[in-house]
Amino acid sequence: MKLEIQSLSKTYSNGVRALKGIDMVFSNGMFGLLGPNGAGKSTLMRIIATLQVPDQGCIIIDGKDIKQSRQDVRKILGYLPQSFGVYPDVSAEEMLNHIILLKGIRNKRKRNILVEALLEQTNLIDVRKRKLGGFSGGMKQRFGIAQALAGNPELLIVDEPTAGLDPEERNRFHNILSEISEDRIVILSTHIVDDVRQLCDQMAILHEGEILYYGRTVDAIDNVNGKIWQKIINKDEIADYHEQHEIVLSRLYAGKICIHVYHSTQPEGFEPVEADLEDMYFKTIKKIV
Amino acid sequence: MIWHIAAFELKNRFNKVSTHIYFLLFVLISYMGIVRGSGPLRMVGEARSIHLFVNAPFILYHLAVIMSYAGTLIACAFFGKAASRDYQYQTQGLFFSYPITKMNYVGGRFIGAALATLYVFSGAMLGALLVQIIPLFGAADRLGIFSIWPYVYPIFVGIIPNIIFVGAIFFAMAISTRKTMPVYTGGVIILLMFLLASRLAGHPDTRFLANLIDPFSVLAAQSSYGFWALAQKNIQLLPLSGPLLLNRLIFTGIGLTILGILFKRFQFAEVQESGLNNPEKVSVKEKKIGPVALKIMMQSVQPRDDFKTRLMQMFSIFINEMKCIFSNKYFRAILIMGTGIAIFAGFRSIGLVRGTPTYPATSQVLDVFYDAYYFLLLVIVLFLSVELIWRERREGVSIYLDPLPVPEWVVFIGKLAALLGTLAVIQVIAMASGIFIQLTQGYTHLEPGLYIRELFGHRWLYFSLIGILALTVQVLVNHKFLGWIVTLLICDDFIVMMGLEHNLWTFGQVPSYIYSDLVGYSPFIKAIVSYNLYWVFVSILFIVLALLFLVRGYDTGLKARFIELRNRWSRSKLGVSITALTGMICMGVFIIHNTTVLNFYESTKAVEKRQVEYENEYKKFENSPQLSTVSVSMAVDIFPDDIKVNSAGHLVLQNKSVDPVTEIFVQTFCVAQVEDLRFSRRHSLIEESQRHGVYRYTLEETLMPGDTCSMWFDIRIAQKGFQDRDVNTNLVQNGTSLGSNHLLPYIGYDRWLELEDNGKRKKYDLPHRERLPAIDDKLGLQGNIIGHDAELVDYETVMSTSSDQIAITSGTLVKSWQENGRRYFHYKSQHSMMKYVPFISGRYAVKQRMWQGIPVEIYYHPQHDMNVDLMLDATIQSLTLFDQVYSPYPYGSMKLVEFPRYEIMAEAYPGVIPISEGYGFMAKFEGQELPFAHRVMAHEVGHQWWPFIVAGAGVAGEFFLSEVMAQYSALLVVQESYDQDVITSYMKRRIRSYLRGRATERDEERPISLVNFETKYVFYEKGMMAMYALQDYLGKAALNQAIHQFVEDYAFHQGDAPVSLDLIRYFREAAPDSLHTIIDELFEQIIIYDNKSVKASAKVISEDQYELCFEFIVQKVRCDERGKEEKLRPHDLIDFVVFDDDDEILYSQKYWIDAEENTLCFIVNGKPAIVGIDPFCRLIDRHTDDNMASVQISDIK
Repeated sequence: MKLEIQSLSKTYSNGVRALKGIDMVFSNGMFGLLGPNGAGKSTLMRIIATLQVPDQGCIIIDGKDIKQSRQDVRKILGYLPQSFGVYPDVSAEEMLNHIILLKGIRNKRKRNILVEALLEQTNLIDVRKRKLGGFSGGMKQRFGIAQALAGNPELLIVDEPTAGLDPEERNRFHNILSEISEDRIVILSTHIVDDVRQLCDQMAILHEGEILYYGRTVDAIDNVNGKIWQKIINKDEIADYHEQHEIVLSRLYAGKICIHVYHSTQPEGFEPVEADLEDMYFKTIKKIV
Repeated sequence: MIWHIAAFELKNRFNKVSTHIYFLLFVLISYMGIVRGSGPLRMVGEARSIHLFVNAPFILYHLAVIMSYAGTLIACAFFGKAASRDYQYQTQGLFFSYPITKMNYVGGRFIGAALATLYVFSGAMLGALLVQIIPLFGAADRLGIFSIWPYVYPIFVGIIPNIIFVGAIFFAMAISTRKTMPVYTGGVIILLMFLLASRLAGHPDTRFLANLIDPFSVLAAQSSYGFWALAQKNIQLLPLSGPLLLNRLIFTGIGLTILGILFKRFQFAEVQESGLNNPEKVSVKEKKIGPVALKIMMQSVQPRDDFKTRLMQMFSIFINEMKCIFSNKYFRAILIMGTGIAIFAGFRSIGLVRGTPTYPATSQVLDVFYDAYYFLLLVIVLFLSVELIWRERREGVSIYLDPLPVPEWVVFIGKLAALLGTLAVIQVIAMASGIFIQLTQGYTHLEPGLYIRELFGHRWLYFSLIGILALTVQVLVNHKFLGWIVTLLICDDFIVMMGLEHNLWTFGQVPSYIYSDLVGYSPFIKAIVSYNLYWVFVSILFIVLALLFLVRGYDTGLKARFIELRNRWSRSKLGVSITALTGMICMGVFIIHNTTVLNFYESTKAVEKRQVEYENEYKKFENSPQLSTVSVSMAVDIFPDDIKVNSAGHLVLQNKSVDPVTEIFVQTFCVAQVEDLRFSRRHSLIEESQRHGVYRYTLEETLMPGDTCSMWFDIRIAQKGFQDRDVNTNLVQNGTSLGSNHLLPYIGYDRWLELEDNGKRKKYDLPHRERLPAIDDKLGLQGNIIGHDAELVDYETVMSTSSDQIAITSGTLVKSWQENGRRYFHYKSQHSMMKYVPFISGRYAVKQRMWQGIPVEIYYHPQHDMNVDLMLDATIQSLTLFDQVYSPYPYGSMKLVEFPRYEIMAEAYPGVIPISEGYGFMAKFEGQELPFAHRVMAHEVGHQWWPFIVAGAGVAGEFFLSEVMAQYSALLVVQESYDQDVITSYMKRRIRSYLRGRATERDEERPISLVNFETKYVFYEKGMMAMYALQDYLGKAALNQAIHQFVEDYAFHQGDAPVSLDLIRYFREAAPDSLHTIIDELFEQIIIYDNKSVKASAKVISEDQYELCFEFIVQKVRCDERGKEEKLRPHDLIDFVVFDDDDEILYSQKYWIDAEENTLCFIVNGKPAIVGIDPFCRLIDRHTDDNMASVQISDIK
């Protein structure tokens, strides 16, 4: 399957330009969409999920413009929104069953099996009779995952899916994603760089409505490899370094600060370090050249 | 700081367009309400009087507080939002960490919301003020002297306390639940409380309670001005005292207390969502199904999109929505509360028709429930329309439900089905509670079939249609409140207000109908089905519209929705639309054909115009000499199955005037088809107007005084198709009941066809018109109460009807036979009588008794046999009594006949008394204090003498000689059967009704001698009171003797008819001189007393003898016709009665009282317990409950 996005633009009524003419192509496999908050990720997700209409541009799935047939996208879509609610008075099992039926699976036996499998996978099987209103944040998030996977979505869009999950849950979810992504498009929208590095073959960096990087994940790291230099400095020196260098990232390190800078040659006092996707990401969104 | 927060809140509100739209709506609705006396002033009868000032202070107050009710839901929004704003947008963490005191925070928010609400609510007063400035629609003539105070007063006494009360409640609810939803439930409950209170207010015993549970003081205010006359209402400000003050204090107090508690208890701490507190159970067991298995499982399913899948999806949505609706606690609260009120109201009013206990027949239960459930269903439809359209978005569920591969129609119809299903469940609840009430009252003739036909046949459909409308509007407007307002405007009488009265304009309406056990729904069924079909087609179009615009996703802008529209437009939608449109047009054309082509359709305006035209065109003939009818012989053929009647016959006309007659003015019922009109003298037609039913002829030779002339006529009435309104329910399949004016042409201009409302007459440039001509009006004196064209006639009719029915008219049955499968009845009067006869036909059972050799019969629907014996008994008792007191009964028979419950009343014709199915036949006599049979039957039998034997002239006061004397007749029978206690309490209620009646007089109150048309409180209530008092002053025997003499002198009188003053003259002649002023005051003036006991003490003077001193006050006022009062020095003969501990009378004496404050001392034998002034309620006393005093006995000798 192939999903093409062509010069997609969206401006909100309050003047915010969420997307400024984006072009992308997705094919089977996992695709990571990285970007800080407000980059336009969710807007893009929602447009693909038929919840919003672009001002310009189009989305083409297997050669068909979805503007004409949003229903065709919906048929193959699984969508986990960034934030969502539940019906407080309905149980997880009932709701999931209802959603699977709405996805068009009318065989009751198959529906029940699928519900059970999903609940099992999302570790909700023990609370399947509990009202959704009594779910904790993490449980709700897992319910969201279950409903997104329901049916057999060929296009799965997950927006910040691991927020609120503990490491074990997160791991399990990653396993599921990587397993099922073989024969479908999975778009993972996140600001957690690690998730993308672990899971995604292809990725893009979206910032202020524009695509700053688009390509393979390994290429992204290769881009900056050999040009990232590290130094450990005292906290009070940071202002000076900001003036002198363009700092890609800085993080606390044993009470001091470890800074990474981007340079084609080794700056004085810095030592080489193996580049990570994070370096590439921050370098890109900070537009350091 | 507090003002800063308040200003922030207020600014927030003012930035919203909706706030200003609400304000403008308040201004507009209030303006229209004031000038038209409708809408918010619907409850105030006198608001439509042309004598009432549009700026009468009590009207302004009523407007202000009733609009508070209308604005309750707006207040919900304002206060709910103000209290929960920070939670909703999850800014609480931010806001609550600022250095603000909670007093500032809560207080500021509250004040801000209160000011915004005040802004909207005071739109009512601005609207009223606008009437003063721009007095359109005839309001210019109704402006009183302007003063700003009456506009300001309601804001401070009415609106502000109301806002404090509802604001505090809503605010507290929103703060403690962090949600706005419970606030709406609170709003609905307050509205239901008002409904409950207004029901309680209908009964004097619970009136006080009603004042206390009506939080907005509509009813408490009504109690203060309840007995005011028009003159007082026009100028007087409502005093802040009594029930109004109490009400205001209570509710302001409650509001402030709640606020106080809120300030004390409010915590800034963030409350976590309950879900977060549930510790999560982490299961560590190994998964049976791994990711690979899941993947295989996912791949194994086959999504389908065939029709069967769609249906299953729709059903699943339906079930899911039903679950959500019924587990919604606010919905349950509204439903339980509403049902409770309906059952409560049912218990109070089912089984009571006009104060008469009645068997709770299903048709009656349904009537009462209709009121109670109407409001509930409307609220629920509005509530659910918002829930169904908005819940998913509110709960954040739509974000993953909207992209599911389900077409809009599956979603929308699934939701719609849930709405209709909920309404059906409520109908079942209504049915169950109706049957429950019937069973608790011991009524076991249950009619589940009728319940189902009524509740599911039409009413469920009606609310379903409103539901479709409400859902569609929510979709289109995409704003909850505006959606509600638009829905209400479409389905309420707003459209009617714009002059579009035909039911085809008002969504979901069908012509109004009434169920009768005699005919079922037959007369209406065609119309109901046709209109409902029409509306179903219209709503299918609505559904298509909703499908096209249903919001799915985030884009709610107009542009995006229109783009989406193009995507959604499909061939199948086109097909459905075309089919529905075709259906709608076909039904519309069919309805218009039936209602305006086959039948005559007129809007209210058109009727007025026709009346004006009639008067302008023909008034000039009112004074021209005309012929009188002296004999009637006719044949009336009723065809119940075809719903038609033919009336043909021959009248003998005589010139009874002193002038020669050359022209004849024939008037017929304008709906009737005139086939033939001919005279025995040579004549020619001058003018013919079917529209007015007028046919004018000129005679070739002049008819000199005393000459006669015959007239042949043939007129027909047939029901064709169906009508939009004013359905001719006189002519039906069973229980046809037509009057002489329907089937008999009559002679001369008919002033009863004129436009009556003087306000409207002015608009049409017509002179002011008295309801009746003045008592000395020459023309008026020539005719009697029935009309101008006949005094007494010889009457003979052959009636025919279908073979299973009986036909009845006045006169004695001479012969009856069968011929050609029809039944014939030949009636002939034995005595000449008034030309006022009914024509009745129905499938009746008959019961007969003989009284002094003449048959007394009752014709009734076979199932309604509960009271026929009692009714016959009361009739015979009345006949026996009046036969002695007045004069011998002249007719050869007496027939009581049941007619369908289209009108709830009894009537009288010579020898025939038609009684409504819904009145006497279903009345429950046992356990009644003063049974209906005696009150009503005696009254109607009394009419046989008044006016059918003694006919008063057709001038002011004519009702003295008919209704007042019929009431006296009833009093005589009641006195024969019941003791004084019953009569005293009955009289107390008459006084109340009179005082309430005169308070709602829109025109002028007249004394009894000049009593006018339509002033029932004068001729029924005050008339009976005055006769009761007079009987006491003169003594029953002396009074009856005077009346007997009057009847003897005027029975079947030819020539000038008597007037009220003639009878009063007889009273005066029978009375000593000392009572002449009293008679004058009773009948020719409007006098109102306020008598009150102050103190009573007694001392023992000898064994078993006490000297009792009684202090009391007598206040007496004379009112003019507009209610302006003038204080009089009392000069009255008043009863004083002393009772002992066992309520036995120890002493009873009349004293002349000449001062306001008095002390009377008298010696009584026996130990006095209670002493009272006028304890039997013979005077019209404003407060009848303060006339008694308990006697304090001192031991000192």
